[in-house]
Amino acid sequence: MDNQTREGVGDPAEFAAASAKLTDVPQGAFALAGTAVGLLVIGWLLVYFLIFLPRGPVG
Amino acid sequence: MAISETGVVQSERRWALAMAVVSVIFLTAILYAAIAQHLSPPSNVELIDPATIHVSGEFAEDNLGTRLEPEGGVVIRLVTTQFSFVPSCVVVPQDAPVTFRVVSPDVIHGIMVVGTNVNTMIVPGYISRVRTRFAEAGEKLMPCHEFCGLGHSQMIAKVRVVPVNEFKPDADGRAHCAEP
Repeated sequence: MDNQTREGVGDPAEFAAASAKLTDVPQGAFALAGTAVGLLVIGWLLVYFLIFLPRGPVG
Repeated sequence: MAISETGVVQSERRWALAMAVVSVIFLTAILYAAIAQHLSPPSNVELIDPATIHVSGEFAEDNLGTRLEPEGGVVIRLVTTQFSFVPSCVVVPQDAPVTFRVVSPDVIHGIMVVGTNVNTMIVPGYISRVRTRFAEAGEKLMPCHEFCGLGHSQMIAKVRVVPVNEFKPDADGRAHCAEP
């Protein structure tokens, strides 16, 4: 632990490489979360329009 | 270079906006179903003494089953009990207003009519009411969907939807399932 920087990475070059990779992380996370939520919304709407509404009124 | 603090905040705002849009889509769909299509969870609070259900009144044995009401529409009165429906088959006219009134003298049961949105729990002490309309003729299964004991899987009834010209109630307004 003695030789590590404040970021927990000892080698400055390694730190720079890690930082460069982290720049892309949000894009990947958004792509993953966006795809998951998009599929959920599409699935929900398909069930709503193709199954729930055609089954008729209830109350 | 890592993503800036401003970039993080901006992306979080965009994501929050996306979630707000999704919530508005869901809420709009639910309100449209409830207001324009009359699709909403059955809600009814009517109390009944579960110990005397079968003795007299609305759910006495001779009053169960399908009955054509004077003001139009059909009311189905059912008793759900471990482990059967009384009666186990009901007949209803196609595309007419139908009201289920269901009670339980013992434990919690549930009904669902397969292929329709009819779905409710039957809680002892309360009368469950579901109003609907069956668009298609045919025989539909109505199982108990709330685990009620060892015989739960055998607890199943039928809803026979018949064209209006085949729905022939007797002078008293009652209709029974004809033998298949």
